[in-house]
Amino acid sequence: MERSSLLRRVVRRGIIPLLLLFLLITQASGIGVGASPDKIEFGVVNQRDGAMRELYVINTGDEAEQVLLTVEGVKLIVDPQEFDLAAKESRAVNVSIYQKKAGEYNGSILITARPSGDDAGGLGLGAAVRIPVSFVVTDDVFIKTLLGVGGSLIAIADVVLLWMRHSKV
Amino acid sequence: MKYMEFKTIRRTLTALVMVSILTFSSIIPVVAGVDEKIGILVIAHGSPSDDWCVPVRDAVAEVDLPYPVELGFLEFVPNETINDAVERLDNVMVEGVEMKRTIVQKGERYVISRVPVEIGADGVMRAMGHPDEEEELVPVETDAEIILTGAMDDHWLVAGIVADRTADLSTDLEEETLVLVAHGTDEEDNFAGWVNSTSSLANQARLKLMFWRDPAVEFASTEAAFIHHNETLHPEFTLRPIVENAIGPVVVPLMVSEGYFTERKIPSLLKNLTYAYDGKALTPHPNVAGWIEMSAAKESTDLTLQIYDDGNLLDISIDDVAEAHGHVCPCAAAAFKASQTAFLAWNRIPARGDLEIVSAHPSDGHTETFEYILNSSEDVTVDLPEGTDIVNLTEENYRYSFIEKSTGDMVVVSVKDGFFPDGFFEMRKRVKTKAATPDEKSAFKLMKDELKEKVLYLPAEEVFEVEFIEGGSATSLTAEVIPAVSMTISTKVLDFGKVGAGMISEDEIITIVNTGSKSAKVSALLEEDGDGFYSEALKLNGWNIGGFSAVVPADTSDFRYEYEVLANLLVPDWAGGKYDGTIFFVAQSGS
Repeated sequence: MERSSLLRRVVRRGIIPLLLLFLLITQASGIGVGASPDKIEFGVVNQRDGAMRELYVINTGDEAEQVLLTVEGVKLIVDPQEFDLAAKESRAVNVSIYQKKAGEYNGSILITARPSGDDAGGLGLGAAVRIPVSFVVTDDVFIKTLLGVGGSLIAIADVVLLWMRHSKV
Repeated sequence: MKYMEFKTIRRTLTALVMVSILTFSSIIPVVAGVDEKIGILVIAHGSPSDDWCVPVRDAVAEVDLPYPVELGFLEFVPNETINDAVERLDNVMVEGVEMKRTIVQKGERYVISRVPVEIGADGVMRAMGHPDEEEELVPVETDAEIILTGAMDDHWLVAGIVADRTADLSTDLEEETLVLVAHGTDEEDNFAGWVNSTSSLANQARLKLMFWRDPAVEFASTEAAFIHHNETLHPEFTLRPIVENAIGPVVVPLMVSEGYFTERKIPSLLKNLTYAYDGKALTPHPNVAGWIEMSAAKESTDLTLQIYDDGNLLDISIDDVAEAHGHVCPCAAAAFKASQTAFLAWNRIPARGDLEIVSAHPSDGHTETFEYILNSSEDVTVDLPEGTDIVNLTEENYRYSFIEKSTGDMVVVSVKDGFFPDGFFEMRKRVKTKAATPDEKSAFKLMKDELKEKVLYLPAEEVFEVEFIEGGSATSLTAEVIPAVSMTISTKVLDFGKVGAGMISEDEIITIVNTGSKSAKVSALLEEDGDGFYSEALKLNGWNIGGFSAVVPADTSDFRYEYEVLANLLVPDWAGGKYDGTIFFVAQSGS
């Protein structure tokens, strides 16, 4: 065997190195935007604790673009809300709940992308993705009530048991 | 009391340097287990002349070992006795241990003697057979375990000194005879040892000069001669007639240090004869310190390696390899030591089944050793450098790659350049092809043994180059993760041209592309439509903007699914002028 075959063997062996993870990108000309995940479900959130998720926004086009995030139907904080992305660049956006009132909520985040630079006039075209968001906010009163009702039921049960024993005697 | 008797020490009086290793075990609370502390005791004969002692002290001072080293003289040197040296070692070895312990004056004791000892009627311990001339023997008191190594005898490092001394004296103008003259003994039981050791040294020196020195120095023959021996029984070893009858005698003394024997005794025995002689002893020479280091390393070097086998941690020693292979040949030694070196470089213990070894050496010694360590023949492969085979080897054949399958981490261990002497592989080829002379065969065998000892006992960094290649540092993996939802619009601006009020424009095609990993429900959203012109006029697939909807599947082969939207303007009667606006095609995951 040749000496060089050793190198080939080693390379073939799948020397697993740094995993460079690119959240990207099929090559497409034009203006484009993508996001992951495609929906955000916070689940049940205590109004005092809040919750936060990360949303990755990706420029899937072939030129720089302006990205704007608009919250629809619910109270959320997205940070940052507006930024530029170079071609193939991605950025994480923090999404946190800004909803203090207990209840079930459904809304979305609209992410729009348009070419950076001056508006050329006419009917411009842009790409956008919409990310549905859902969560349930609970408050302390609800929890206290639940605990109170549970405690009362246990107390009543104890009284009933004692009364039954007393009656038998 | 336990007395240790040395049978051979008497015969090595001329080269009386021994190494003893004292091991002292102390329990260190911080580290679970027993920490073995080692000290090295070098024993030399000693002389009333300080000139004799100084080169010996210097040689010991040159010793480079990770242990304390002390020199003790057998006799003639007050305050530097073996007992003094042991006491110093005991103190050094105990100091610094977190849980100090006091040397208890009980238990086993050792006495270091040059010869078997006996206790006389007066209660004094002396060497057997030397009731009057020997100094009283004083037992060494220590709790340390004492391991005795051999004396200098005919070690190859000593042969190297003899070769150097001989080369200095050789004129190389005519045929010469090397006469190696040693102290000798009158005791018949030990005389054979003197003869064998001295003859071996002389022959080794001759072969080294002939084959491993550039330029080569050739000697016609070698002779061993002694100053003290039974000349009636062994006249053939008497110095004067040997020198008298030798062709071009080169006389080299085999003495540890220069003194009475080298400066007065030998010249007096050879008075009025013609011979080459400079009276140089073994010291000073770097090989003396090298020999002390090697002797200590032989006893202290850990020749075990560890490997996991199905979750069980195994200790594999060089003795295990010897049993499996039949003996420890230089190849087995190199393979074992290279494996040990690689495992240490890894800084973790490898596991059988997850390790592969690629060896550049085709010998059975290498392959069987690697297979034994891995308990697998499938994980050991031979990859020969170009132009080499089992007969035609080069230094490049001593290269081994240890590859961890799970991580791709690789340690490449290769013998350092210059480790093999010039001409080694040519001589090996002559031996393998049966073209070698008897001297060549002997020289090759001696060199193989020398190299084996170096491989096993020299520090690994003096023998091997070690290269650690982290898995994948040579190859990077990249991944393009397609976003869950993504929309790309190939068309940037729609220009419907000039269209009259109440008229319908030409159709334009807008290509929207689902570049996400899931199918998308696509709708349209209009912004910056100041006069509401586009809200009313723009038709997408015949629908107003608010009514437009399409499902664009995902194409998971290249994550591009193109969808064409037919767009036109149905211009209201009230419109006129230029209208700007922006329309977004909005994708939302269809799942």
